[in-house]
This record gives sequence, C-alpha cells and structure tokens, in this order.
Amino acid sequence: MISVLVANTKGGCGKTTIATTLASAFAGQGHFTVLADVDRQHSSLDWAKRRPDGAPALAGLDWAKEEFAVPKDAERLVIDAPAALKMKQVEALLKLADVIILPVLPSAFDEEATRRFLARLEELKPIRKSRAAVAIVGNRMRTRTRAAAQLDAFLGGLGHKVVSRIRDSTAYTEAAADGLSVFDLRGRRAEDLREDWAPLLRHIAEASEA
Amino acid sequence: MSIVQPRRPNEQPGGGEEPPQAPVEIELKLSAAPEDLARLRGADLLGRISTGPSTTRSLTSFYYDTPDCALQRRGATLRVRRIGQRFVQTLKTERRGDGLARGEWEVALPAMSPALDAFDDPEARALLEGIPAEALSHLFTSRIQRETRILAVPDAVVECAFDIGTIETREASDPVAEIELELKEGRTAALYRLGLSLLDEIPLRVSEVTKAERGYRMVARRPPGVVYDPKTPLVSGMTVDEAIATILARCLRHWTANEAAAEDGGDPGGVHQMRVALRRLRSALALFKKTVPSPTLDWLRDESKWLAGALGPARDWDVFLGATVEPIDSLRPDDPGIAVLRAAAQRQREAGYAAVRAALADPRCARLHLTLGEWLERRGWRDHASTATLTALVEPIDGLAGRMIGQAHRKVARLGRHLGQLEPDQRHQVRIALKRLRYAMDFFRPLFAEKRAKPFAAQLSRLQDAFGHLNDVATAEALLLRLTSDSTDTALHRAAGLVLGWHARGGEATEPELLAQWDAFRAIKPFWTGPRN
Repeated sequence: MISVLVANTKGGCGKTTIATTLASAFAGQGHFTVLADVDRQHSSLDWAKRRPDGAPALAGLDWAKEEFAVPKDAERLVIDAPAALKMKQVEALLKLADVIILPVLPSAFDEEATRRFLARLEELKPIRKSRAAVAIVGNRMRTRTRAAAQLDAFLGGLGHKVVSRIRDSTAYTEAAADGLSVFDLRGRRAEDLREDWAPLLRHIAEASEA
Repeated sequence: MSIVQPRRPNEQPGGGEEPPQAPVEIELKLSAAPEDLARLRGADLLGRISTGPSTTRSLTSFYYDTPDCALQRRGATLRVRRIGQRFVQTLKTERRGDGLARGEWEVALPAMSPALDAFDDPEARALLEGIPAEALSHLFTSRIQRETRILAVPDAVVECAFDIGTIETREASDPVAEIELELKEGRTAALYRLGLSLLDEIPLRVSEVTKAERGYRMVARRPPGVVYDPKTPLVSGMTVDEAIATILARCLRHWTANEAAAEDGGDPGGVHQMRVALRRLRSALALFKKTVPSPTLDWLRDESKWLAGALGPARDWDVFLGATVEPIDSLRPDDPGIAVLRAAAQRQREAGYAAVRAALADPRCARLHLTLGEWLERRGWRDHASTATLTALVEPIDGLAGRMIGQAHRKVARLGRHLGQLEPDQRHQVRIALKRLRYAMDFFRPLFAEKRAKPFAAQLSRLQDAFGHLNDVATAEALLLRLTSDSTDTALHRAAGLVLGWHARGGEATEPELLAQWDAFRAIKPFWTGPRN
C-alpha cells in the first residue's frame, strides 16, 4: 500500500482538492483506493458521497472521530488532514504516510507558517529518514507571476522545491461539485490540466519505492 | 488475501517490524481420472503458459509417526522423500486458517530415516517437541511419478505437478492421479483461476485430502472425519469487506472439510455438515447481497442451492432411518413390517448416497468450489462497485451485523405472529426465517458480549428443535408415500401406517412444547443492541 498524507497547518490552501484529485487518479488506475477524511467538516467525504456510480470507485473513511484504522489490502490511501491538528494526531498520521504532500498557495502565502510546519515535520523521525518524502505542491498557480517566483525562491532557501504546480482553473470546482476530478473528465482541457499532476504522481510512485 | 511474498505489512503501515514469517506452502490439489490427466498433459493450454519443458522424477516418500500417531494428533505430518540420489525430510502442518496455506519445512538428509533434530526453525522444533526419534516408525509409503512444469499466469508463478502413483501400506495400495498447483509467487486467486482453466479442458475434482491423510486413513481403516459447527473468526472493528471474506472462507472450509465424509457415507454427519455449510454459505450470500450486489454472488447462490439439493435425499433417508425407524424398532423389536420398512429405506438411502457421489464428481461441483475460492481470494465483490459500495465495505462490520441480526429477528416475529393458528406451510416459513436468524447470529456472535448472546442462542436452539420435529414428521410422511406408492407389500403398508400413527400422536404431544418455546423466545431480550463487549 502507498499512503499519502495531505497536510498543512494553514487552511484554505486546497488540501481537499489535492486529496480528492489524487484519490480519483489512483482509483482510475484500478487501485483499491481509500480516501480518509480527518476533517470534521467532511469536505472530502461529501465529495465522495456525490461521486456518481459510473466513476472509478473509491472508499471514503471518516477519520474525524474514529481511530485511524486502515482497511486490510487497501492499495492506495489518501489522507485529507485538517488545518487544526494536534501534534499527537499529526504524529500518528505521519506514521501511516509514505509521502507527505504540503499544498501551498503562491498568493496570501504565509512563509512563517510553512517554515514552522516543515521544521516540525523534520523533527519527526519518519521524515528524517527520507527528505524526499515531503512533496510541496503549488496550488492555484499562475505561471510566470511574481508570486510563483517568490515561492520558488523561498522554498529553495529551505532546501525544498515544488514538485508539482497545479494551475488555477474553474474545472476543479466544477468537477468537484459532481464528486469528480480532472481525472474523471474527458476532453482536451482536462487532459491538459492532468499534465500538472504527472510529476506529483511520479514522485509518489518513486518515494514509495525508496 | 494471501500473498506469498509480502511486499510490505499491510496491517500497520510503517508500524514496526514485520514478524518473521514461517515457511508456508500454498497449494491447490485437483484429482482426475488417469486418462484425463494424460489428455491434459498434451493440451495447448499448458504449452502456452509453461515457461519451459517439463521434468519428470520418481518420488518415493516414507511417512513416519509414533504408534499412537502423536504427530497426526498435533496436526503435523513427517515424511522423508527420495528424489533420485537425494533425501529430503519434510514437516507439514494442517491448513493455517481457512485459506490454502499450510506450514512446511524442508531439510536435506543423508538417508531415508528421519532426523528430527535436523530442523532449525523454532516453530518446527516446537511441533516435534517431546517426540522421541526412536518412537517413530514407517507407517506408509507413497510412490509417485511426478511431472513438473512452471506456469506463468497473470499475477502469479505456479508450479504444476502431475502425480501418478500409489499410496501403500503393508496390506493395501491405493492409486493416486492428481494435479498439485503450488503458488511460487503472486496471489492465491491465481491458483483457483488456473484450476478453472484446467477444468475447461478435463473433468476435475478439487481434492482436500492430502496423500498423508489418505495414508493415515488406510493404516487406521478409519472413515473420514466429520467437522462440526465452526465458529466464525470475526473480530470487532473488522471492515465489512474483511468480514465477508472471513465468513465465506469459513463456509467454504466447513464444506470442503466434510466433503470426504459426505462421499464416504459411513457417518451421517458428513452429508449433514456439508449441507449445513452450504446453507450457511447461501445464507451469507443472501445477507450480503444488498451490500455488494453482484452477478457472481447470484450465481454462487444458485449453484450452492443445486449442490445442497443433490445432498438432500441422502440426508432425508438418514434422518428417517435414525429418527423414525430406529425408535419405532426399539418399541416393537419383532415387528416384521418394520424390518421391511428399514430394508426399503436403506435401499433409498443407498440411492441417495449414489446421487451424492455423482454430484461431488460432477465438474459443476468443482466449478462452484473454484469460482467461490477465486472470488473470495480476489474479493470479487469489489468488481464494479460504486463509491457508495466501496465506502460501505470499509466501515466496521459491527453496525451492519447488529442491523442484519435485528432484521432477521423482526422477520421471525412478524411471520410467527399467532403461531398457534398458523397453517403448516406458514409454520414452515417461520422455520426457514428462524434458520436465517440462526446463521446470521452464528456469523456475528463473536462481535457481541457472549454473556448476553448465550441465553438468546440457547432459547433459539430450543425453539428450532421444536420446529425441527414438525419438519421431520412432514418429511417422514412424504418419504413413506414414496416407499409405499408402488409397493403391494402389505407388511410395508402396515409399517407405514404404524409410523404415521406414531407421528400423529407425537405431533399432538409436542404442540404445547412448541408454543411454550415460542413464548419463551419472544420474551428473551435482543443481545445485538445496547452496550458492546
């Protein structure tokens, strides 16, 4: 099983979009995929509930109140972690994760919070073993803006780089309204948007092999 | 789902060290007529999936145990096999759990005599603990010509052996003609899938009896054993998905463990337990039909109904002989009519067992077995599942279990209202509903507090017994009609009249008992609601 934790202490950076898109990408590849929602607001679970019967199926798990129990022989686990997490919970989730995805926004970007979060992650043992396991994803990016360049410079200073840059597009919100993602849509536009995810999917496959 | 070479511990990702794995053999055994095996050897199919040419070897194996079969009683078998100029000592265990896996340790030896201290593995040593080497004697021998191929199929590598030969004791010799499919790499489901492909080529039977078991049986001249009422190993917090796999695997195991005894017929328990297993299987499939709708599930229900039906007459005549003829015979030991009745019933019983053997040898039976095995190893119910279904599958079983028992209980209560005034066929419906409740309760009982489940189960048993008597009487009447309809033997007709009268009197006596048990059942508190254990 490959497990992916999507987390950031900052809210509103698109964790749910990343988590649901990854889950549907895995399900579309034919993997038995579980999407675990730790957030009390259940945005990921609600998305899964909206998911039509014809779309590649995945299992939604409510981890907001329950213990973090992973179904046996699940092949892909995507964990959508809420912004407000106790350190103990973060630790428990990190133990489960092969790859940690840290979504960041170029705009309204809180450098200090990200720096602190990365520092905390690195204090924790499983991360120290392989730094590559933390994947930073620039969400709602517009290429060649000053904000994007600023983000790169900042992360470079921390010894990290952006693995994927996910473009800003209304396709994400439109698909999510139907319980779908860009991986479930047809057409040139969706295909084009999926390209943004390729480096991240590659990174996940490589990191979990290591 | 069993994987031979675990990639990573699934249960607790990243959570600590994986425990050292004992050597495991995962094997599916198929038996066939020698001429069919010869035909299969030349089939295109094998040529297509073989990775190389086959090799043929003569294997002579001596099986060892103490005079009182201490190893067998521990569930272990010990043999030394000569392969050309080499000698290999092998210790095997019984099946681990309900799948196809068993423990297996092998070690090279200089000669054909066993050397218990040659095993290093602590588990193997523990199995042999306290057994003095000098107490071991050679019990029986297998002489096998084995033709081996390595087959590559999607998601597995399988060693396929065609075995022709004999199992020999001092007094007797039994022929062997079988195929062993051993998983070398990949998933267990592939073994079943391969079995199904071979079944398309020749008639086969899935064989549960190892060569060692056959040898022990020949030595002891003992009929195959009967396996009773296995407890389903469900654990609170297990997902619905795992619970389905666990329950179905247990039903399949219960069936196959009794197949040899059913075929043998020496103990009426064999057919009975195999029927119970098939009914439990159908009942489990019916329970989960709503959770995981699937065409395969419907097919499995139909086919297990066919197989259970084929076992029906043998069971009916066993019950007739045991529960009707026996007691009347002891009441009227010298009645000539009863002797005629017994002889006629025994002939019918023979015919019933001939039908059982025909059904077990029918490739349809093997297809059901292999399809079920494949489906449950692969968790085939996930096929075409929607997100809603998959989500339901990863929930803990506890909630669904309580709802299912509750539903079955409500149905019994509804159908059995005013039980005293119900017609026989309405009562029959209540009896069926009680059975459904019984099976649901048996499956899920380990999830609930035993202190509360026990009195409920006990009262349910008493009520079922009272209903069962009614059914035995109804069945006996139908069977009597069959015995007498084309007979002019007045002694037989007289005996039939005797039985009818005896039953009518008995029925009158048991009616108050039935109603009392019903009231007691309705008064008892549900155990599936309220606090958990």
